[in-house]
Amino acid sequence: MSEKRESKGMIRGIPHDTIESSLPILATFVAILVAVGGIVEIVPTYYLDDAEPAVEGVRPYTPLELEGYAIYRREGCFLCHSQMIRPLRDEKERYGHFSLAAESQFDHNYQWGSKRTGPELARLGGKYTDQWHIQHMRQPKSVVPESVMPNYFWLEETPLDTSKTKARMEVLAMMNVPYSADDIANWEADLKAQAAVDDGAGEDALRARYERKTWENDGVVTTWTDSFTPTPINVRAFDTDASDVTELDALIAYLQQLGTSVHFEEGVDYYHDKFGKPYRK
Amino acid sequence: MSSVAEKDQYNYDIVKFCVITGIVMGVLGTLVGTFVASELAFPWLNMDIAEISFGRLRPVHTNVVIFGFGGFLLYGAGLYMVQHTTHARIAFEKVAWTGVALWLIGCLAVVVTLPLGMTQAKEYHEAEWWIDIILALSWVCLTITFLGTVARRKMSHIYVGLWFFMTMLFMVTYIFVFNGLCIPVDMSFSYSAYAGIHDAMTQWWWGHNAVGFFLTAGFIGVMYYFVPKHANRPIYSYRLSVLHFWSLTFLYVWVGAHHLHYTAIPDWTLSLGAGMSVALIFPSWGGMINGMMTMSGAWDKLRTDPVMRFMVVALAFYGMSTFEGPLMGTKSVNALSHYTDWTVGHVHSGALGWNAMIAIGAMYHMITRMWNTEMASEKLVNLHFWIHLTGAVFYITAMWGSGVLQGLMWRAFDEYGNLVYTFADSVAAMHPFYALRALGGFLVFLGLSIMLFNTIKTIGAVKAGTNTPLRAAD
Amino acid sequence: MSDHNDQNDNSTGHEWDGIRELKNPPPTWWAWGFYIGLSFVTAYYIIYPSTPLNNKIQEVVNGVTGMEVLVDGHTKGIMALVNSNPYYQGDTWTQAEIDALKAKGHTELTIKAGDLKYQDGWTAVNEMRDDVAEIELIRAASMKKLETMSVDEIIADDQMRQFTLGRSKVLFGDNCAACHASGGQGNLNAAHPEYSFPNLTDDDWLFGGWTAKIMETITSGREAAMPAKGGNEDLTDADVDSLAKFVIAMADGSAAVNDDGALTKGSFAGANALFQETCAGCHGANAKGSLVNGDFDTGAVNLTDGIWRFGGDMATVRDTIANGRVAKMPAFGGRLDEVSLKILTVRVHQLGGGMDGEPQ
Ligand code: HEC
Ligand code: HEC
Ligand code: HEC
Ligand code: HEM
Ligand code: HEM
Ligand SMILES: [Ca+2]
Ligand SMILES: [Ca+2]
Ligand SMILES: [Cu+2]
Repeated sequence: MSEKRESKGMIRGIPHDTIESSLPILATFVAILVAVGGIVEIVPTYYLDDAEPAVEGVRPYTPLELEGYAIYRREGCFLCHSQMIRPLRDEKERYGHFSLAAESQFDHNYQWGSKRTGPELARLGGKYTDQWHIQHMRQPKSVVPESVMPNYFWLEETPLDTSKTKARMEVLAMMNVPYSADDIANWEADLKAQAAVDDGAGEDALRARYERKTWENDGVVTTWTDSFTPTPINVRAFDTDASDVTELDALIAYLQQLGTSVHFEEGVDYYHDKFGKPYRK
Repeated sequence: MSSVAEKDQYNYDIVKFCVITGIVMGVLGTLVGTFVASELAFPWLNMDIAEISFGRLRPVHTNVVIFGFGGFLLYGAGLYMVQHTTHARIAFEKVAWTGVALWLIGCLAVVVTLPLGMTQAKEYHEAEWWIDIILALSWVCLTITFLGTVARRKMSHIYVGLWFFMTMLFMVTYIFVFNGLCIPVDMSFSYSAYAGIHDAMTQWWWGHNAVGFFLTAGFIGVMYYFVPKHANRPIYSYRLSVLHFWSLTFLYVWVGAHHLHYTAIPDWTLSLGAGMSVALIFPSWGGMINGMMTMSGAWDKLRTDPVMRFMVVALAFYGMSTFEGPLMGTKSVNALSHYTDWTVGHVHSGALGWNAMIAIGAMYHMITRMWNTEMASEKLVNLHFWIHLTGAVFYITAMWGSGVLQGLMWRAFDEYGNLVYTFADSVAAMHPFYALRALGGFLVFLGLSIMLFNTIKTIGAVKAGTNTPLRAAD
Repeated sequence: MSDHNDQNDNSTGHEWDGIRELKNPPPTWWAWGFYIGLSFVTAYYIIYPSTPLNNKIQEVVNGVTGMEVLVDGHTKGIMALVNSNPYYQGDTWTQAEIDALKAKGHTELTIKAGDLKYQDGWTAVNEMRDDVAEIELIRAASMKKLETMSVDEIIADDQMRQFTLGRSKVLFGDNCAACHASGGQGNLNAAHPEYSFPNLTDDDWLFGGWTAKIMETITSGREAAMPAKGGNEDLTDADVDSLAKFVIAMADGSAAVNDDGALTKGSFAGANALFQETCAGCHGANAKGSLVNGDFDTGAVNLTDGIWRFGGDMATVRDTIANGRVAKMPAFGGRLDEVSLKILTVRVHQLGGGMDGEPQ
């Protein structure tokens, strides 16, 4: 019997001596052990039906909104703002219906945030006017004296860089976002139409594309019921200036649609679908 | 006992480089931290400059302190202790140097790109995909070097500190790679491979375990070498080491979901995270106990040795934040604390109390050993300790105050069932706390600046031959 | 062996760089805590929803009657058996509800009338239902009253009015204060007059300060547009200038017109002629604004009262006339419930400028 075995002994029947004397054994144990928790928690969310109950109305962003999302990300808004209303009664009172998993199903990446230095924004769409947003983004303190939010006045002075818009849509279409070839081909017309810089010429086509009810990606087709009317797309000069498309146009277009796609109805349970299963795929 | 000859074989150059870079990163990171803290207290400091506005600068702070300060400490202390506890010179030195160089390049790239708005918008994983690749390659280099060195050890058993370091190396590789998976649009933009709930889960599987393995397991490994070494006492309990090592390694991984309580993540996932969070108290405390009890018989050192004090207070903060964390990991407490400054207070009781203090202690220890000298000014080390502690306490208490107040204000209903405060009321109420936090942060920054100054003087004196050689036993 | 020492102490006999480790057992309290912690998780996972399953296991479970209460792709926790929530206990699907869902296109429903609605133990949403029920209980009496009383009745009832003002504080602060300021005093933005928001505390109204009108404003929103040059392209810069001087003079009292549009004070004959031709259509011949003249929807402001919506300095007024103004008040009808709209109306009315009676 070796001295080592004697001096360190077994730990509850496990020959720890052997483990800690062998790099391969120790390394293998560690490598396997640290993988377990993540696998158990993450993998099932991909195959369990009720992880992300389907709900009608959630559509991919329009090209202009998609650019707005990129600006939201770039400026780090998510470090002060959440987009996740929790099912807590005070949040219900303050911000509205709790957020559903499906509402962020096309957000690569998710924007739930982890700190509310500023208010929750998940249902911001339509709460304020564009004009308020313009002034608020320029100088938050001028409308909300308590605010600690930075001024973002350069957004309205910066023309929107659209050189990546198409590539963005293509990348998203490679994942689970149901942009059709038609959506991608018309990105520029749609972007301009939404910001109203085209004198209304492309509005109908834009609406036909993004207010449609059938979405397809990689053979998976989602169709909303006949009685469902998708939320209308906001079409206008968001920064009040229809002569060009600025970063502010894009950002406000993004903000004004937040949380508006699902039509919450009194009495419908959007979460407990076990017995009713109304919203399950 | 390692012989002098063996020690001479150690590669200290690489450790020296990491330690000094780490201190510089600490100064830089806390400077930026103090600045962003001040921006929340005095928003005019955003100065209408996009690059330094809060939203763009905050991730510079978190990345520089975690990857710059924390990272270089881990590289430096890791390479130091793996040599000392294997009695072998590091393996694959070129690989090691490549790793260190890549890490530095990665950190600098982060500092440049984040203010320009290139971000993946994932906390602590903000750097764009090509920087991720640089950092990941660096990590692989470190892992190869580390394992190679352990394989060259001169004894049969692997030291417990190295187990912890290894568990960090593996886990961080998994989570960093998987959370970073994305499809690039170009050099400055990419979309996460995951969306919605899947992205959220992957993000906090990373986020929590960046904390649990990078900032905890790795640092515990460091603690396991530097505390007994500096106190010159044996580790208190081998059995405790074993138990808390395996339980920490297994349990920590599960709790990422506690960052998503009450969100649209399935309930079962949240329970898994909440339950394990509570169970984590004792595995976590195992490290604290083993560190603290190791001091028995050497407590008198606390009076005379500020470096020892850094280490012991770090352990106390570690114990505190790993009690607070599980508390916040329960659903009911998290309902209050989530989204508030309480989280930020918790973060910094871990970061300033535990990570920074153990790092500082280890750095002072290594500097004196590697250059074989006393610090140029013992008084300044002592001063650093008190300034740092005061700053940390200001910071943490301010954030507890603001966090709990914020949480209570948001959910307060009056006796008739009406909400009592508007959101703006809560923003206004934060001001004094934010100012106090900025002051606390400034003190911490000041302390690290003193450390940098003291280090430069120390090394200068060694170069000039005017230093006092190390008095310590070995 | 370098990792071995001969000291006959309590150590494991190993040594690394002089560090030894002792054979002390972990402190008893720690060991207790450790095992209690592990038992806690186990119990917790049994009580609450926790373990995810896969389809195979689910299939097997499906074969066992009654198990659907406990398992649905994941374990639901035994709280599902002790359904103690008084709010949803016994809340069952009715045939009418099921039919309604089916009518809406949800044809694959597996529920039957009488099935419990929310019998799945602890879930975050069930917990919210509980908490909401608690607060609704507290509110029940006042809510019932608020639902049945009209806005005017609430204002007339001293106690209810006070109560409503208390309740509406946060509602106003979270929804309206961003534009109208926390006290309702509005926001006159000197640097950017176009982003000024009206004062709700004075008795100058754009669309009417009667409760009915306020309610309408909040529910459906408003949009008021002042066209550039009053819509008259022919106005020259000089005309705009003289109109601006005239408007300012009317506001400070140094000029006045009567109800027929005749100038009764000041020497602005030319400007008044322009005004009557171009502006009176909206602002009225007497310049007292659309509201005073009985038009509740245009929002053309009273130009004679010295109260400015966008600012009364020469530059701003000239800008208003030359370039026009558009302002919108968002509709809160879809966002807030009926009672909230009511109590906001009470609040706005009680801010100081509320008008009594019916619109005339
Ligand atoms: C330093 C933290 C901070 C950052 C960064 C920040 N905000 Fe804010 N935000 C606030 C605070 C505080 C408020 C509440 C006071 C106010 O309305 O200004 C707020 C309010 C808002 C509101 C009004 C929400 C409501 O319901 O009243 C919007 C919209 C908003 N922010 C959007 C943004 C966008 C978009 C960005 C990024 C471009 C951003 N914020 C960046 C702190 C921040
Ligand atoms: C996005 C900014 C905004 C928000 C939010 C807002 N308002 Fe307004 N409100 C306005 C503007 C602008 C006007 C003036 C409309 C116009 O000139 O066409 C107005 C007008 C009004 C008026 C008519 C005043 C008059 O003189 O006739 C009332 C009453 C009013 N708001 C109440 C409210 C209440 C109550 C809320 C909250 C539920 C609210 N407002 C939220 C911008 C806002
Ligand atoms: C189509 C209707 C219409 C016509 C014609 C019109 N106005 Fe107006 N005017 C308005 C409305 C509506 C407002 C208030 C705008 C708001 O609140 O959004 C307004 C506001 C104003 C104001 C701002 C007052 C303040 O308190 O800041 C001035 C000054 C003014 N008008 C002058 C004129 C003059 C001079 C003319 C003729 C050249 C004119 N208006 C023609 C509808 C009109
Ligand atoms: C047993 C140990 C711990 C547990 C169970 C724990 C638990 C938690 C919880 C519940 C949160 C809040 C999540 C939220 O509401 O958003 C949190 C946040 C955090 N903790 Fe801990 N914690 C532990 C130890 C530590 C330690 C030692 C550190 C060291 C620095 C640390 C660093 C952090 C950080 C950085 C965050 C912020 C994450 C974010 O960005 O939102 N934690 N932790
Ligand atoms: C001078 C000292 C420091 C100051 C003033 C400071 C300040 C700040 C501020 C203001 C924030 C943003 C909080 C918010 O969004 O409300 C923050 C976040 C953070 N800091 Fe620091 N910090 C300091 C040191 C450190 C150190 C040493 C570390 C790590 C080792 C650290 C890690 C973090 C982390 C992880 C976050 C993100 C927290 C979260 O997401 O919840 N900080 N810090
Ligand atoms: Ca525009
Ligand atoms: Ca008014
Ligand atoms: Cu965590």
